[in-house]
Amino acid sequence: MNFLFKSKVKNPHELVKTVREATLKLGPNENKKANEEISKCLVSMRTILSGDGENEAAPDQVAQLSQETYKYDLLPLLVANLGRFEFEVNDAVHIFNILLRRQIGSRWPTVEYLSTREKTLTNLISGYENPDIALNCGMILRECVKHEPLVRIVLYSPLFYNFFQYVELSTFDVASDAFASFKDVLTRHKPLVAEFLKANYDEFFKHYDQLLHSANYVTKRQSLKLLGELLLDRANYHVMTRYITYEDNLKLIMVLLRDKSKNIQYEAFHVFKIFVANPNKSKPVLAILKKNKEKLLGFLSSFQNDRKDDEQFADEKAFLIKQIQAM
Amino acid sequence: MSRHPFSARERAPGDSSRFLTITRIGSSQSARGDSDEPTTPFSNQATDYQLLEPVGYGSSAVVYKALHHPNQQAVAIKIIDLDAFERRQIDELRRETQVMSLSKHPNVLQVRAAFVENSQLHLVTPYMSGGSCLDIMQAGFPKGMDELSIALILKQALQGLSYIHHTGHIHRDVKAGNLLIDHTGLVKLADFGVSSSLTDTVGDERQGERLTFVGTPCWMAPEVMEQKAYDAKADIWSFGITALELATGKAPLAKFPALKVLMMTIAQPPPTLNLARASHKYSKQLKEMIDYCLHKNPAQRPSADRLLQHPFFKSVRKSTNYSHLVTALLKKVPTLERRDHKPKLNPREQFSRGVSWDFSYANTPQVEDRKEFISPHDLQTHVSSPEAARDPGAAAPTTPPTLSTELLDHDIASEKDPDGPSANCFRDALPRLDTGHWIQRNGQVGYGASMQYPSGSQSALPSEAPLSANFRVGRFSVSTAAANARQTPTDDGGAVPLSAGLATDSRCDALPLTTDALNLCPPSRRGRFAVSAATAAPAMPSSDRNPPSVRAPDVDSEAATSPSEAPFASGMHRLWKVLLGSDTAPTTELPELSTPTAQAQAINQLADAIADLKATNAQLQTENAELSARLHRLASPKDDSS
Repeated sequence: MNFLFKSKVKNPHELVKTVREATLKLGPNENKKANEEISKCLVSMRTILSGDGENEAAPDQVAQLSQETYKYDLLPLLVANLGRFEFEVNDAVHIFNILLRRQIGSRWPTVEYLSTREKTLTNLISGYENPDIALNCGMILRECVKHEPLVRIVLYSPLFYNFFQYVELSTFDVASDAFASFKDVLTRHKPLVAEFLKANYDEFFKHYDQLLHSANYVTKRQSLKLLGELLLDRANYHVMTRYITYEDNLKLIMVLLRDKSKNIQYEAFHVFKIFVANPNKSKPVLAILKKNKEKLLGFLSSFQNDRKDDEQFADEKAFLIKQIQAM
Repeated sequence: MSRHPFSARERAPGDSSRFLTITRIGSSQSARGDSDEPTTPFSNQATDYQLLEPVGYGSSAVVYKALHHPNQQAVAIKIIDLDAFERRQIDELRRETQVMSLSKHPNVLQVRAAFVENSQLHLVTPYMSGGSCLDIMQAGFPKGMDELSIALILKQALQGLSYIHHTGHIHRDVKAGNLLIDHTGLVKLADFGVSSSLTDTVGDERQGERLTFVGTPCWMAPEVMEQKAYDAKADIWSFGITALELATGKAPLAKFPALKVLMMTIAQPPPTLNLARASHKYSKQLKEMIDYCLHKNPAQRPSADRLLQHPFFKSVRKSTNYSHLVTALLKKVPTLERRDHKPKLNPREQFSRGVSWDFSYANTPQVEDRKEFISPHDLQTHVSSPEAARDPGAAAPTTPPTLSTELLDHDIASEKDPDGPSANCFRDALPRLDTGHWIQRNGQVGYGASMQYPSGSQSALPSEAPLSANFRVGRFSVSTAAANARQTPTDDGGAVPLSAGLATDSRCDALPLTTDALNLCPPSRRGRFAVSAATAAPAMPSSDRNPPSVRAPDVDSEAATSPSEAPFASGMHRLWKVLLGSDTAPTTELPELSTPTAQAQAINQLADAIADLKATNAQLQTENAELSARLHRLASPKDDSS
């Protein structure tokens, strides 16, 4: 009896074509039938790409399906319409990410394909504005920014600064997802980011300051931690030396040092230490440190002494105390 | 906190109870479209919720019943203090929260809103007024439920599980305590991995009773215990155990200490349903379904989808509605609100800030002064103390977090100085504990440590050392963990000859433990026995009357004047008791463990105990060899005669 059903199975070409046509048909009105069709095809496509749990994916089918998706620009189309689908978009995300991970020798065909389609990436970024698809877009976006060419597009996109709003959204899972993507963008391809930060220092840190001032505990804590990581990264040496010459930065960090959250204090410490350790302190920075010398010594000597098992922290603290004493 | 325009994400819980037929996602059946009615979304503002009575406690979370004003719906809000979480843990939490908010299936508890207020994360879920199945059994069905109820509950749970597996996740913690029922009889699967404290504690009015089985890995699949790679089939095992739990009131082996459960699960045939001895009349299908799930080889277990096709579930007609659950179960127990709940909370003041900086000649950056917040973490009044540690019997049974230290591999006797280590040279003569790796399994965190010998030979990882019945000579594992003293096994070895493996293992109840525990053993302290043990010890305050006493090192330690000594002593005490197989370890000597000499002596005694065990092990091994030789002879009589 199997042959009766076999005719129903669509080949990759038909699948892609069906999805494309049905997606283009989606109008402002509900379209149940088109949605059902798309959803069904996406399930089939996912099965082709990742197997069905019992059978592995067949390489020739995978290759064929990939070619078809490029040919019909299916990925951009899916991303652009994610918000319109009335079904669970999980499969679309999986398809996208499996294709992204596809590698032929040293080539990443999907990455190459997407690197000329900036719109797709900006659509993914602005996906954070639609709560229904934000997390799905985030998953695709993080898969994208594993690849340098795609990070470049994100960084230099005018929408990059939207991240500073997204990470402050009141919905925890969306905001923290946005932060995870934001962090990946800034930490995965260091030379690229160093170059970006150097060229866009003022703009970037103007925005970043807002995060450090955020009333949202999670934003504040995570951005402070990320700041420490960025500054302490060798690749960002220039950015770091610049950052620590500004007295306003020091002041902000010192305020955070005595935040009521111990964790925020702790993260602030890891930025504060850079200011103190800098052998070439700028005059205003030195002035502030000197002015608060006694207070700082008192503060540091009792600062988070319960972190007994953190030797590095203890060492660094001792070092800071010594440095400040010598001022 | 300004409210961003994009925040209106959550959909109101539609009456999804009629959508049992959805067993697949990713298919065209859309949970998004079908099961939710577009009503007022849930708010991201704490002020929109009125907190009512607490219905559960975790180590750094409290679950409240609450009223969502905009639509007058009852919800459950789990409030988690993020400041108790270490750096990377927030990320973990993010992932778990996402899984839970992306799960759109009527039989999976969905997070409807998640927002941060001060340092507290609020997770809003539907309010499941029946509480958990465990809860219901404890309140009214200690011997198990009737078959139809079991079928109705399990079928729904299985549909939720199938959904989760289709989305590519493993639940890792399927058990009656994680199956929540609402007032209509709708069952939802709650709590993925890390977030397990949410329902572990909902309506948990009899912790003492619960401890006895929460404290043991009764639901864990053998492959998970053996630290093999595992997949969604591990959930199917747990599901089978859950079925037994619903039919008998307890998970099988629930009365045994953790290590015995581990050994028995691995060494013995899978548990099954004894139809003759069950308190209700059960069908053969139920037994068969359970046996189907409880194959030791995961490949032989069915997938969730396949299991749904089993006659046991097929027999539940679609037309059967859940009213049976309401009449057979819910009407017979008090409502969740009426069940007793534990600790009355006393707010504790936050610490004050001492210092203010002098930026006098310039503008000070504006940092808002916020109202002092009180976290659930701070609401706990009890403090860990060595006294409590020594008097656990008197303490109300609680949910002690767990730390399991596994020392693996292990030719200690042969490596040891022939004269035996002296107190002065124990560090050189004895293997040292190396902090190894954290193991998380089934929502439980253990700390896998390995022994390192002075010679530098490195031990095997746990995966190579299954706790198997015919273990090899020179290989045993010791696993110590927090335990309520009543639970601490006086491992009599009897039924289980491999008494070299010793453990008590109480259930890590909640996320924060994971968090804290992870931070207790920084890499910088590797390789120093005393320190490792000391740092490990705070994670096992079985003594604590309240879970949150496990603290991250950065949180105010109210406890001891000598923070590293007291936990060390109590940890040592426990290890000692376990190793010596006696519940009467000399408590009076414990304080002396604070001196290096005493520590050394204790360690020596432990080493001797280990050596003894090893000898026993070797002896058993010899006996075993003899027995199998005899067996061999018996099996081949011809050889014998010739």
